[in-house]
Amino acid sequence: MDLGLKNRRAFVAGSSSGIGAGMAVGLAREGCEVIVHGRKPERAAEVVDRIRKEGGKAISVIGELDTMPSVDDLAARALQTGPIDILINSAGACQDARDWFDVPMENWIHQYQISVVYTVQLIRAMVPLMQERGWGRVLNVSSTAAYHGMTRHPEYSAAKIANLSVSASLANRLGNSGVTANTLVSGLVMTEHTERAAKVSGESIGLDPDDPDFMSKVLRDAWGAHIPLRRGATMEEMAAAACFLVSEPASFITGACLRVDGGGAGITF
Amino acid sequence: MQSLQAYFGLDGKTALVTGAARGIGEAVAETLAGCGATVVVSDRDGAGCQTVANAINAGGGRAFALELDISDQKKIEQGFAKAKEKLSGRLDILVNNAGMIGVLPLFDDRMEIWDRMYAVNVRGTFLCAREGAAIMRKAGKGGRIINISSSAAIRPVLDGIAPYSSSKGAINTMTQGLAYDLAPDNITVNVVMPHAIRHSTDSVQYDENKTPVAGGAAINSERYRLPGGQGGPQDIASLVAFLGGPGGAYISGQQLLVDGGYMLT
Repeated sequence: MDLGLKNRRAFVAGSSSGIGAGMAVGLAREGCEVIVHGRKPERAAEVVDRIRKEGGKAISVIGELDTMPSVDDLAARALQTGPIDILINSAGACQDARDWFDVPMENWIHQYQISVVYTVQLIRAMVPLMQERGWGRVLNVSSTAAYHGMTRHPEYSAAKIANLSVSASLANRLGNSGVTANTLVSGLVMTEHTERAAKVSGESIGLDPDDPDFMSKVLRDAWGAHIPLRRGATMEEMAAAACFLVSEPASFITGACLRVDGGGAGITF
Repeated sequence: MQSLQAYFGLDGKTALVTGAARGIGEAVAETLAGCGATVVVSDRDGAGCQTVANAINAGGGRAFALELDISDQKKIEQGFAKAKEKLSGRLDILVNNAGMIGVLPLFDDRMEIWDRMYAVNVRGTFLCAREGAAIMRKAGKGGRIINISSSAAIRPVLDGIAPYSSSKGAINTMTQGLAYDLAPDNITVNVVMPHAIRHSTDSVQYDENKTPVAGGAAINSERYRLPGGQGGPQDIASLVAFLGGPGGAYISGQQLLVDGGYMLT
């Protein structure tokens, strides 16, 4: 299937590591020029180097997402590099776990800034220009945390369900302008961070890391995670879903939500 | 440069598409073949599926025609046995697209329409999924089952749509149960819900018993403001091809709308 992404320019917020980095690499492999964004120049440079070594096109733009002025500044610098056709909002980390009643109010506000408000700011800066050109894609990345009332990360759960609402209202507003807005919901993804955490959790309950079923046992016995497919997603699977949703063949899909979660959010008991 | 295209390609895969003589099923069959899969094009209209299979083969793809009436359990079992033989025992992707569309006014006494709707849309889809899953399970290589229902399953807004919409709602719920049943075999099951898709037939057709058997007029898109305009069969085929390929491996139990944003309005 030809995704029609050649020579499109994509800005991926939060792409210096994790899922965002995977999506940046995936888009570059499909022929996009990718603007890699992160807070740390050296991390962003690693992703840019990786893309260029494969023969792809990438540059980086560095900036914080934790205040509104810093995001406005970031958007302006990103747009100075040229027109942006695709905006993927993948940044938005979870803060430290605390009991529901102990989460400081500042953490709620901070979580909304780094998960929701920045996406709205980038959309407001970049999408009107996409509308003028008659083609564009917005993809907000949410998490299965949106569907589970997480007692120790309530602010994160709330922010992630807000991502879906932002995509839906935006898609409705954009109409048939040629710009679509969708949400990609990630479940457990086998990032380096996940691999490390699994190793620690598995070994702490006496599992053998060389056991081929190590990961499915960690999921079941250490994390109590109910994932019918009994594994985490690969980075390539996340990237493939993102590439599809921003592709030409997905032009009739807007305001939609695609859960790439091994069935984990579809079937919750 | 290594490309993600491997995640969107179906080279060496095998597929069976029901209701593939026209409309969405035809586009799905052509797209899967275009992505490299060998496709069994099935439909109760034997001549129609032969025409589609011929066109795929003439275009350099690989396809077989299979006449199949999914309202009949015996015929389903025999049809899948034939398909299994043609595909050398391997079925990677099953697309349950065949269905009956139509309306039955609330106080119309023709319950045979209700019965036929459920025999085709619910029982037929279930039996095809079961036969397909049996072949996939035996081969031990996982698989993908993609059911096609309708936006009417979650927004039934047309006079007399209840039999149709509830049968499509049953497909949605069935999808989740099957996804759970088949996850240990690495078989994913998802449902795609089209809305306002142009069909090759524009009006509801009736068989000799005045039972509506096909057509796309039941949903009059003019009545709704669609953010994304009206879609075509290709819009559904694109998502099916993605779900059927390696990129869809971690997606299961999902109900996916391809509706141009209709559900937002």
